[in-house]
Amino acid sequence: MSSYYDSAVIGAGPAGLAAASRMAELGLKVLVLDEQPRPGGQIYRNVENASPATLQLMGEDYRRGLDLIKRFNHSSAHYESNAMVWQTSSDGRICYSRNRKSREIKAGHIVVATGAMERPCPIPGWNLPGVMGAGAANNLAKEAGLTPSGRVVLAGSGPLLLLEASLLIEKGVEIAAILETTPKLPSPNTLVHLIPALRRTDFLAKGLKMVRTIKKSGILHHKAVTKLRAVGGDRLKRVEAVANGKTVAFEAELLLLHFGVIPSTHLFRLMGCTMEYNDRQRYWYPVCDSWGRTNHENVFATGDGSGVRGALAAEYKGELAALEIGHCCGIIPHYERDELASPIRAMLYSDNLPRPLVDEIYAPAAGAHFFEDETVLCRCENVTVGDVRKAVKEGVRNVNEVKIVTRCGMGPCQGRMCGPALAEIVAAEAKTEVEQVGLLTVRPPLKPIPLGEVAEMELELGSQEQADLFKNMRK
Amino acid sequence: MFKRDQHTDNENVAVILDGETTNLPGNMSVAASLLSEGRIVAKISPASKKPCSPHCLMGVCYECLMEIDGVKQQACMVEIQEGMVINRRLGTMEED
Amino acid sequence: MISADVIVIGGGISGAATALGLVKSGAGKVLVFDEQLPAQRPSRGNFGLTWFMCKGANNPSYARWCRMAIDQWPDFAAELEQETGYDLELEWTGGAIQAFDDEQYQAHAKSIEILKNICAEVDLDYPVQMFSREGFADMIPDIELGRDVTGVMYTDRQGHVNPLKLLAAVRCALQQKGGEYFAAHTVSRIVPEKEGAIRVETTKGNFRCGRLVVAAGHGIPKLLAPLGAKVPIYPQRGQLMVSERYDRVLDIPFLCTRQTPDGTFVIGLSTEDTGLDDSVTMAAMKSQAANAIRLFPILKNLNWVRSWGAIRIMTPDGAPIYTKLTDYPNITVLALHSAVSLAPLNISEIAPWILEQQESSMINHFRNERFNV
Repeated sequence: MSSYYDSAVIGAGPAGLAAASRMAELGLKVLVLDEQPRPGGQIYRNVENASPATLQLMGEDYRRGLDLIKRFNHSSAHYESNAMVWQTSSDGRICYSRNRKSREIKAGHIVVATGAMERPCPIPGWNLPGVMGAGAANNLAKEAGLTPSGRVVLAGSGPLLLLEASLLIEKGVEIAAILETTPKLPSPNTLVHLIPALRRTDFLAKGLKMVRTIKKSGILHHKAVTKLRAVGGDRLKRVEAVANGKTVAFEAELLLLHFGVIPSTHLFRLMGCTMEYNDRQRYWYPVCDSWGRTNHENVFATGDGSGVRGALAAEYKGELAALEIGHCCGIIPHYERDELASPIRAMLYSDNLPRPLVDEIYAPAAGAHFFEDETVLCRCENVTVGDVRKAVKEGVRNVNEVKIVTRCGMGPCQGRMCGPALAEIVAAEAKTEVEQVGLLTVRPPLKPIPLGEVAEMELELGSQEQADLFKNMRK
Repeated sequence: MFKRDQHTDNENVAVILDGETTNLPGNMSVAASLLSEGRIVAKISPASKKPCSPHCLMGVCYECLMEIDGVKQQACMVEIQEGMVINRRLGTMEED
Repeated sequence: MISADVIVIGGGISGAATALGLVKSGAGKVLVFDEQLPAQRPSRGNFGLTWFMCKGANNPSYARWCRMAIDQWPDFAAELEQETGYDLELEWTGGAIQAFDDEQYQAHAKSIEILKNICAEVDLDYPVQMFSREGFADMIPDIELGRDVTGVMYTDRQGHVNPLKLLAAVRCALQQKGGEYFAAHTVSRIVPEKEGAIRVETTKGNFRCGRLVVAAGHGIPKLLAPLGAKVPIYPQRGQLMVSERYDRVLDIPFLCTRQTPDGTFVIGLSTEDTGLDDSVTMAAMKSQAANAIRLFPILKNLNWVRSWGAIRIMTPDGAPIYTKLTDYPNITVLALHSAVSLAPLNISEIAPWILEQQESSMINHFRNERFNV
């Protein structure tokens, strides 16, 4: 296998697939490293093997993945499934593990298309068995045809929470309650964003249908709930919250949490990409130009990883990065790049029209979640909110300093599950802004790998083979 | 906690789960396969000593870390295979 | 302007422990300024050994200084734990260095002879001995030594500690005793004033003190340059890697691998000339992992979870610099690596010396002037 590529794409969701297909179609030598067994990312997970029933239920927004993957499979991009990237650097070197072996390759350009993740939000009891992300239930449905059995509570905020609720309703799942933390009345800013959104009636219709499904089901649906809490011993027994000033409680076997979606930023941070904080959505994202180029000339951010805008936008962003890389590789002139980009930019613009409205309605408020001292914040290392507060009281002002004092963020997940809330808590305790308390430093390995694999891996030393024009003739 | 949809058709594979030969549905991740059989506890947390179950099912949370063929791996990221040796090391904890 | 008796610039282990020592020695009002920039955080990148073995082969004063420090460690830790409630995870289980072949074994044995003689010159013993492979295997029955290990150099008079807990505990004790700790305070300038007072200008206002301690690691040159002073320190990188937790099988720390009480293995030993670049390199990860597996084959299937690079404060002879500036004798500079091992001395020796409560003939060996020959 080759060890040098014009471009390495990390992730095979809509952004990665579109970028890789386009670059390969332009004639670039492209490698796609996908952590999953099959292309599609989270949104189009397992779509190639989906049953007609699943395709029917998930609808057109899922089926679209089939076309994308078909195009990708037809292209010359080299696809490595189950390839877990554990180190990247801005000089183009990438280390990844596959079939229990690690190797290092070099790429002229790196396209990071690692998407987004659900915003982890430590409510009391969130680490009990039986509490999951709503996205997890969605993934299980796509990947394995699994449907929750027993009583389910859905809680949190964001359109995907309601989408998941409507899917489960259609499947006939017994839902005890939907507990939304979103305020009942949207902020006045919403009105500003309503007008552009009205230009996308298709989008609004989809939203209305979802809400109608929920309403028609007659399922208890509380809004503006606070003090959400999962209760149980060795597993979930009950979900509690305060709604309309009263404590409500529901026996449940499964609690599905969802608090919106944030970019997965570990790869960017590992490579030293400049990060910016989105104060409204309360997440970090890599700074990039309109092609997706980060502060590193050869590192591109595409898809939801560069800012959450959904699957279609991800696809378009992937295309744009691909065109610019094609241009940089000397395959297309700048005017062809711009010409090809023009309709894509128009689609991206149109797709984005309703986004500010949705973002505004579901914008997370600072201090919206109540963090109890006893709540486990870092699941890997069992560090509580109180432990972090104590460190701040002893003078610590930066999340990395909290990490070394408390071990918060030191476990196998590398701060993915605790990082965002950690910053919120430290900022609140230190009476400052999230931006001021830093971001957890990311170092290799991005994901744990066996020491033996590192010890045995071959390092990429460049293409130093001796010239031999006739080597293919001897094969 | 989960049931398999009627239209799914995944052939079982035989694995050694916590020392015992066990048939589990194939063609899905180890985590999904265990969940589909109601086995929700993935590990005992080495830090808190309390049981954990898969949380994200997309390779982020590491709550489903278990020993698969001799190495701790994320059960949601590994496809279940015939003959796999899976150890969750649940100790004396009882599963229901 | 806030006034203090002593200001310490640098809240790493050396700075914070010295500040604690100053408070305990009755220095009055003591402030610590701690900016936590990457190149200035070696106290967060430590391996965690409390170690004297092999140190000072070129320098009897340093050998003696290290032995003194290590002998004080158990009491120092006990007191700190009692004061703060922190568990430093100190284990006084000795320390070991493996030999992978006969040549290394002989070299280790020879180093023991040399250091025994050096220590004898200053009336110190050097309680280190060589063990055969089989002999040492009996001491660590729960973990298998690699095939290549021919023998082990070992002392039972040292141990290992959680360096992060140490840092937190020292900082906590300092504040409990009335010292004040200011995080995220960058000192921009040191200005000597009339009659011996010193003004310390920070990004959050100016302060005044009678004595100043500069323990700012690689931040020292910036602070001393305007005073016309310098210390010959240079950066040296070390890289470390950490494994996932495993059953506790190894309680004796090795120089390149130790298992912490919570079960993780800490691996690594590198001394690299890379300026202030604290990156982690794949070449180092590969060789360190291979070396650790060669020592303990069981590590092969254990997951590597974290890694980091940290920048030592290195001096030309490897020994610490403890010095009072010639032109400003109320400004003390502390510049050193191995801050964990030497931490007890910040309280018992360094603080009283700064306050001129006691003369220390030993500390004089570590003055900056030794390099001006």
